This record gives sequence, structure tokens and C-alpha cells, in this order.
Amino acid sequence: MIVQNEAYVMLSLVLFVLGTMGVLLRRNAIIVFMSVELMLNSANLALVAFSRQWGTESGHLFVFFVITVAAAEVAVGLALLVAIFRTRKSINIDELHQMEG
Amino acid sequence: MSELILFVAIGVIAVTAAVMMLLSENTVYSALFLTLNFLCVALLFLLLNAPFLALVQVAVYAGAIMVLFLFVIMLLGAEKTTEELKRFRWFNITTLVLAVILLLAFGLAIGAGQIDLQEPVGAQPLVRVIHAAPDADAVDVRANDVLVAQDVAFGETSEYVSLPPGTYNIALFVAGTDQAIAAAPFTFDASGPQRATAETIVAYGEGAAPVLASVFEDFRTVEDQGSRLRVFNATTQAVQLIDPGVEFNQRDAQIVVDTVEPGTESDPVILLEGINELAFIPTVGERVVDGDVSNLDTADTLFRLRDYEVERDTAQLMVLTDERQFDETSRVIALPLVEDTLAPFGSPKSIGQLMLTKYLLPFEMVSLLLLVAMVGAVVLTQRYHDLSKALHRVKGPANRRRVARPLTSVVASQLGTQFPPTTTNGDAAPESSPELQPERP
Repeated sequence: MIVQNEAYVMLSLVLFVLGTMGVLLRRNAIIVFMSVELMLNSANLALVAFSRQWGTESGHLFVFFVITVAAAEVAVGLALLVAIFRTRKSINIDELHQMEG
Repeated sequence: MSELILFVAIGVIAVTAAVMMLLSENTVYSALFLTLNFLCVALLFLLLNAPFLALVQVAVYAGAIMVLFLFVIMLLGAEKTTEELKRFRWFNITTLVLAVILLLAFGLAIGAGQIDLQEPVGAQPLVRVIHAAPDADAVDVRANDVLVAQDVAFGETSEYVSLPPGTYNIALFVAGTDQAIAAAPFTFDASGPQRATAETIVAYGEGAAPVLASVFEDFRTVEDQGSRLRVFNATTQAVQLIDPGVEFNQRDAQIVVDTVEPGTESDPVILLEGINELAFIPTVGERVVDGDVSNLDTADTLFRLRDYEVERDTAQLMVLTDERQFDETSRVIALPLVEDTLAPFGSPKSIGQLMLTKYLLPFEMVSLLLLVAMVGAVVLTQRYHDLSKALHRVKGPANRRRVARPLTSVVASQLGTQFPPTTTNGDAAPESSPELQPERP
């Protein structure tokens, strides 16, 4: 392997931080959601890189499970977004604060 | 070198796509940039020897999930982000600073090589014993006085046992007694992280006290579509393994395994998948030398494997040994030990094997979660105009059958007269009891 695992983990870290910034900076709930997906995906990249380093496939299995959980999360999350948009006519997360009490 | 170029190119595209996703004003563009990022990560998976995951990434992430996103964006008509009203002016700056700190902290840790300090641990070596000594009784096997196999008769093989790496005194005892008939020290090393290797102890030789020899077995993936074969010669004469061709036709016979001296093992050879004809012949007299088979004679054959079926992705050890017959003569037999080789790293087969054995419970849990999420998504997107109405519909008095016409008009139609005079042009059906009618809007 010419490219060291550090390079992959670094790339994964950069993508993760970009995802974090997306969650914190953007106000559009759909983009926040997509940023969460970006973070999950960068974690997957790190898992696969570590899996190659250790020569076992457990990391691949974890990535598989993460992808499944992400699919489930997107299904429920987008359903929530649709429901919220119907009642509030907005998906700006600054306006969604009825849970504050 | 090409891996480096590919990594840099794909990495730059991935990061650019992520940044563009953050900066795009149009949500559709954001989704498309995220798709591009996912495709780049799928390519990186390919670089990391994970072809199956790369496919799953493309199909599930870039396919299903992103289509779902685009569909919802279209459904909500939320392409243009609404004017971002910021509640906290200081928020952007703080976020940027925290992000840079996070990047630096982890980046320095990774750059300092902190993640490579530990060596991967190897799997414990696997050891088994095959009894190929025709004159010896059935044996018990002990490794450092720990019983690892019981009552192994001639021609039988014990199950694999997993031992910690180290040197062991392997001793054979007559089954059920404390009478040792053979013992020898062997050193077993840890194999790689996967169980890629094993050792087979062959007990062979004439007389009641067999000799022990260790044969290394290699379960790594066979590149060709065939089986990796090793021959261990436990007889008293040097042998060759040949492919006799069609009924010992001397023209198309060829050597498969060249001369194996007594008590030694051959180098591995690859047998191709399918039906093979194999025959063991003695090397004495140099019947077959350098492919010249003009002196080949059927009567010389020690042991013949007719229509021997070879499966792909296997590794086999063939132990050739003498067998005593009732009339005190002996003949040669081959004991083939066939084991599956490891599936290639990252292939669907190997991931499937792992998922359905070691990770069965997580697999089931995730499946359950997916089902629950499916039901949850359906329930959440149900359109309830009014929750109380929905509840009323479920458990209220309206479980009674709805009457399309007021009872009074039914009575009137029966009587043929207006009784009492009502209007029947309302499309919504009133309840059957007339007392409720004044409450309806």
C-alpha cells in the first residue's frame, strides 16, 4: 500500500469537519440532514481504512450496518421533515422551536 | 504510484464537492454535490480493497438515499433556501474557530503517527492430527499433557484445535491408556489476522510407534479457479502423482506432482476445477522422466483416483500411506483432506460469511430497525388534518355504520311522503341520530 492509512483518515477527518460545519452553519433542515450523512460517510471511510490496516473484515461489517442505519434514519427524518413542513410551512430550523416549552 | 495519484485526485474532488454542498444556495445543487462526494468515497472504497462496500455505497447511498432527498426537496418545493435569518450573529465565527481547532487536534494526532503504534494481532494457530500409521492402534492426542483429540483410528483425522502460539510437545497415546507411543516437539506460530494457515501433524511409519511430521497448510485464496494440492508421502517409497490421460494413453499423460520422497511433502500445485484423473506411481525405474511416458504401465499404479472431483476455492492435503490388508499384504491408499480456502478480502462471500456467523445478532437488530423505520415513515407521513378527528375516527362513536341518508328521509321514502320536511342535498352524511344534526356546521 503506497498511500498510508493516515492519508485516508486525514481525508475522512476533513470530510467530517466539513459535515460538522454544515450542521452548525446552515439553517435549512434538509441541508443539515445531508451534512449528517456526510459525517456518517466520512466515519465509514475511516472504518474501511482501519479495516485494511488490520487485515480483518469487521470494519466492513460495521460500515454495512452504518449504511443501513443511515438509510433508516433518512427515511424517518425526511418523513418528519415533510410532516413539519405541512404544519409550519417552513423547514428553517431557527423557526422550529416549539419544543422549547 | 498510481494509487497515490488516484487518491489525491479523488480526495480533492470529494473535499471540493463537500465544500460546494455547504456553500450552494440551491438545495438541489447541494444534493447533487453530496452525490458526487458519495461516488468519490465509493471509489476510495475500491482503492481500499472493499469492492462490495463500494457497490453498496453506490446503490444505497448515491442511489436510494440521495433519490429520497431529491424527492423530498421536490415535494416540498424547497429548492431555494429561505432567507437565512440568523438568531445569533456570533455563531458563524465560533463555529469556524471550533472546526479549525477540531481539525488541528485530530490532524496533529494522526500526523504524529499515533494510530499505527499497535500491530494487528494474529489469529491462534490451528492444529490437527491425521493417523496414517497402519500398524499403530487408535490414539489419543495430547498437547503439553492437555487432551486435544480422542480415539483417532487409522485413516481418521482429528478436528482442528486452536492453540496459543508457542512450542508444544505433541504426544500420541494408545487410546484410553497412558501408554505413549510417539512424541515430538512442534512450534506453532500465529497466522495472520485471518485464519490463513494451519498445521497438520501426520503420524506415519511402520511398526507400533509412529513418527510425527508437521505439514503446513495454506488457506489463502487460490487465484486460479481450482484447488491447492499438497501431497505428503507416508509410504516407504518415492512416488509421483501423474495425470494418466485417457486410459493411460501414453501421449497425453503428464506429471502433476514430481517425485516425493518418503516422509516429505510436495510443493503446492494447483488442480483445476472439475473432474480429474489422477494416479500415484512409484518413481523407481524412472518410468516417467521429464514428461516422457513411453514406459508407463498401468500395472505400476499404486493408487488411482478415478473421476476425482475438484472444487474450486479449496485447499487439500493428500496423505499417501500404506494400508494392511487381511492377507498381511499391504496396498497404498490416499487420504484426501479437503478444506475451504478463505474468500478474498472484502468480497461479498467473505462479508456474508462474517455477517451470518459472528455478527448475526447485530445483523438481525439492524434488520429490525429498518423495518421499524419503514413503518415509522409511513405513520409519520399520514395526513391528519385534525388529530382529534383522527382519534374520533379510530375509537369514537363513529364506529357505527355510517348512514348515507338521514333516517327521516329513509322513513319518508318508505312512506312515500315528506316526513318531516328535510333538505337532502348535503354531501356529508349526518349522523343517524337526529339530535346531533343542529350541531353540524
